[in-house]
Amino acid sequence: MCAAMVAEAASAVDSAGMTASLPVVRVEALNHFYGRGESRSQVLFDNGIEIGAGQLVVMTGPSGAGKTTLLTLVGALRSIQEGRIEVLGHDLSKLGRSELVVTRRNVGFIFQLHNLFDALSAYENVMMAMQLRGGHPAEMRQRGTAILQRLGLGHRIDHKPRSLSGGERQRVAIARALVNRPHLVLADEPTAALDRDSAHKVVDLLKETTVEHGSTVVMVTHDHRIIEKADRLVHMVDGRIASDVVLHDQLRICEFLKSVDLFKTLTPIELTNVAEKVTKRQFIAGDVILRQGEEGEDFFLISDGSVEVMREGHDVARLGAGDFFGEAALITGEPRNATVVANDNLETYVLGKTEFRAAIEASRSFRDQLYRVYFLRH
Amino acid sequence: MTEGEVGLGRVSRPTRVWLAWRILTHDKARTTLAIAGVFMAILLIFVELGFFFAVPQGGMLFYDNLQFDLLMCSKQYEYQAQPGQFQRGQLDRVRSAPEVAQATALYFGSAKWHGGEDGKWPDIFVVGLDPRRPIFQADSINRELGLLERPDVVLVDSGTRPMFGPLTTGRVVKIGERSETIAGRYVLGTGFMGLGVILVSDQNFARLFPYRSLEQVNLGPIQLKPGVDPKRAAAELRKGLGPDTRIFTRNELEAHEVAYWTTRTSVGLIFGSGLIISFVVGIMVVYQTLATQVSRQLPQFATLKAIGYRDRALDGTVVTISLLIVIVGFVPALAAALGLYSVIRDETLLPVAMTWPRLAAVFVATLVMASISALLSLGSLRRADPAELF
Amino acid sequence: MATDTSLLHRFWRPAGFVPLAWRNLLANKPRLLRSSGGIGFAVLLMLMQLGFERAFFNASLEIIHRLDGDIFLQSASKYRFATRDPFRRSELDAARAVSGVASAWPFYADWFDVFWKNPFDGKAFLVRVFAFDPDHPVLQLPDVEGKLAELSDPDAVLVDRHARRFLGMDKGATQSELNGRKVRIVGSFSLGPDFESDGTVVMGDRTFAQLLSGPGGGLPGVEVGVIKLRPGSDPATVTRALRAGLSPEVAIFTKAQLLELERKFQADVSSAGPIFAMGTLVGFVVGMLIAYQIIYTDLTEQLPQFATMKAIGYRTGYLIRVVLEQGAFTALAGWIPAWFLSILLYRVVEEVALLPLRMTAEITLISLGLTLGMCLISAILAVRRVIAADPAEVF
Repeated sequence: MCAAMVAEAASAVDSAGMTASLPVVRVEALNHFYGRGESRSQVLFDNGIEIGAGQLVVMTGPSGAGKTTLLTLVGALRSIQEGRIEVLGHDLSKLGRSELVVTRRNVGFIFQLHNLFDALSAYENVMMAMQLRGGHPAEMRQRGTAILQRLGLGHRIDHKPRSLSGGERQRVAIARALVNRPHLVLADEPTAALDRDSAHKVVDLLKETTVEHGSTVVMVTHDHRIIEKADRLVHMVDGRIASDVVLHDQLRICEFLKSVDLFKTLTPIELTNVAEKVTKRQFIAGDVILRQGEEGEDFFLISDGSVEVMREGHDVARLGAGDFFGEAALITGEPRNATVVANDNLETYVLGKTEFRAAIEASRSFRDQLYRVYFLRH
Repeated sequence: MTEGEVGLGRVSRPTRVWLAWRILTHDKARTTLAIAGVFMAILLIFVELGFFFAVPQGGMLFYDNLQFDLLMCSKQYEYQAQPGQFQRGQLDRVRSAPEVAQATALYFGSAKWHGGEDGKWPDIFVVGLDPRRPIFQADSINRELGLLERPDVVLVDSGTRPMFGPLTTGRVVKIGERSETIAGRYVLGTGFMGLGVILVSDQNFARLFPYRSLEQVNLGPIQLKPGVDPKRAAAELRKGLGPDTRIFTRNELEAHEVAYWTTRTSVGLIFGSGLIISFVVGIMVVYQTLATQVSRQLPQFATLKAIGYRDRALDGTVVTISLLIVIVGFVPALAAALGLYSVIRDETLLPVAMTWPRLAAVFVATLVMASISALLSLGSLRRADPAELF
Repeated sequence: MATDTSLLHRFWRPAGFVPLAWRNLLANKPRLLRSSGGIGFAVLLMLMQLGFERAFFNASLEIIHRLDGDIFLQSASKYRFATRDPFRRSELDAARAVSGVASAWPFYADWFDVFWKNPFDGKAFLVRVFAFDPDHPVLQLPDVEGKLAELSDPDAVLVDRHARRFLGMDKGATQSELNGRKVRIVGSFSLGPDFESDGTVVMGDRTFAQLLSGPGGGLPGVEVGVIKLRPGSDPATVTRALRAGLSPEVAIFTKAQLLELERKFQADVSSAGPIFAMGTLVGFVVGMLIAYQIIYTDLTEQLPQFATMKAIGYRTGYLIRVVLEQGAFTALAGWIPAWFLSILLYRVVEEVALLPLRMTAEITLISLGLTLGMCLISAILAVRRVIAADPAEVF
């Protein structure tokens, strides 16, 4: 997912009008009411949230909390009454009805019920979504077939819903939602009616979408299997966002790596690999992190705090957040050529020798970047 | 991808038709049922329309078989069987006009036929004419007119009812006060002139109706010289007409007769109301199917709306479903109507016939019916709220 | 299950303790409206066609009903009532002589020779003319009975105020012309037109004679001889005696036979009769088939509910009752408004076109019976599979 964000940033540089920091979904001061006059009741209270690309966001909360309402508003299925929602850079409140319809084409909807047309085969149901984008029939056929195969329905492509199991039908619906590679996927209990295997396939695919295509998935669910895989958990109670928690450090690592020069040019996959292998390590002021003459074991990336680099007792450099050290020994195989001491409370991300070497093997750009800095230093 | 590049979500007609077709063919039982209902409604419309036009057509039968461009008659002319009388002098005057090729006199009367089945004396309609002037469209009839030059001879229309007894050539029948011999039969059709029709020479007519003078003519068919425009000629000839005579062009005559049959008799009311009610029934039958389809698949339609199809696209699909149903139902209805027309012709002797304009009119009416039904069900389609899907 | 205490249910508890058929029907009001609406219009078509057809026949028989007699005489050669085929007056004298005959009076009529001039716009129209000796009235028409004295005067006539409006008989004019002769209008009666005559004029026999035979003309032949029997005499016996005493040129009829003669002619031979018959038949058959299709479609939509009921454990007999009731309710929901609407439409047609459209018990029962019948048959056939199926297989 961090890779995806970088990819988003990278492509953002290419495509006009979009900057890397543009969130996929931005909600501001959103209020919503049902009913009129005396029976008017407020269901959303001053909701605000920003969701970037490549995130798998799970929304939880008791029924009636407003999750679904928020989802329908973000999906441009309902008109905004008070507040502001930007989706994929478009201010929804400025869009007319038909423009809202057009915006929805960039959103993939997954409902609890599959709502497939009985009259159409699995492929044809998926095609209904593809036709909105237009395109070459052969290309559409290939794309539709591919996603159905990916979901394990390759042998069911021409079957009608009545000859598909419940799980298969839901997967067809998901294929329909994802076939156009939408930037935003909104899902409501997509796995509620699924058995363990089907649920597994679905969650994997959704996760993969966030990772490979940088899509954002916002999902309402109570399914624990999914909650475990989420990047972010938004809990709503009584129309308010009660909590909004980032689940894994990997996300933070991504966010951090994103801002680091060294990793900026890495491909998404490379970056994911790096991020996954990174561990967090903390030091307090005065800790000696590496000692000159020792064997090199780790590569360090400073996320918070600063260090003193000393050689033969003299300060050679001071490094802070975003800087890295410890690469020399890993590259040359020689012992450490300096001592690094923490100046204050330090938070670092650490990559072990093997992983570091693997990263160099795998990534040309990483290597180039690294050497550039290395040679600069030396 | 900017908005402009994204497909317009305007469901192209082929897609609409494809989706409508698939929805219909998927559930063959339901669709067949709907088509059966539509078939019957359209059949009804054909039948009512058939009667509606056949009655005036029956009333026009005799005229349709006469050769004339203009018709002179009394100002009191009501309709074919009640034409009134006018002076023969008017006809003679017109005969000498430069545009006129031929102007003949027709006499209408009704007499008792003393030779019906079971000793009954039914009324026979008598048409008196000049046998030397061939005025019928059918040459076969014109050829037989020569037979009427003999005295006390009649030609009988083959459509004369069985009630009149056998119509064999040579049969002698007392008609009115006179003894007449059947010289032959001709094929034309009695229309609404009566249950039986005979042709006689004008001389014979005078003998059959001694209280009538041949100076009092009922109808004066006028044939114009080739190339003469009937409307202009009529205008010309009307200038010198007496105050109680009038001239019709063929078209004016037809319009008059049709108007008589549809408004003065109850035909217009009876079959017109039948037509309207049948149309409404058709709308209800199609609407029933459409509403069912829409409500059964409301979530599916709502899903399409969610993923970005415009309302218009969905409306178009429903309209297409409606049109497909009626178009498929139209063909068997047409076939059945043709069959039914044949039965009606036999039973009622009305010239009920399928014409291309009628076919086209009913087809258009069918499409309108479908559209109205579709419009009615669009309301429930609107209720497909994608927000409710969550 | 909640008990439904609506008024109807106090009177009638359908299908056991749960008015399931009601529930099913009312649960989906739009569907009920669609189905009963479609059936309603099909029934409306039937009722209109049937109404016209009955009016067609009844109108032409109306005058016959009005003849005040027990036995009637007509020319044997007369092939229908509404044609002029008179017989000699002397036959009436012979009839009078037969024992059991209380009176034998002439009724004169003409249908196709007399033209009435609309006193307001001068247009001439063909009218029926009925005549009789004012001293011996034979027509049972109120308003005529009070004018008998006036009718003895020459050129006095009564007009039908319910004739078709374009005749101008309903506006209280006092004079007009018949075949060019001036006549005085001394009153009006109510009879109504039929499909061949737009209006009727009633007069005394002398006026009739003058009209048709010219001044100085003798009384014309008798169209119908109206015979009244002495109280207590046996019609069959008198008829036999009449047959013996009258020439073979005269036929003897009861009123029923007289009606039948004209009715049969209209139905089988006339130009219009078969048209009405055909039109009504087609309208009927197709209308009924459409009602069938509507119910069938309606119930087919509900098959899942019925299947569920069967699976839950409701007995087949109960299911059949529910289905029949639902079919019947839907049919009635369409038939009743159509029936009321057609009564209204009959009135409108009567006003506008002066056709005697009447809602009769006959029309009501025929249409109701057929509609219900079709719907019930359709209901059974629609759910036949569910009824016959094994509950487990139903899903």
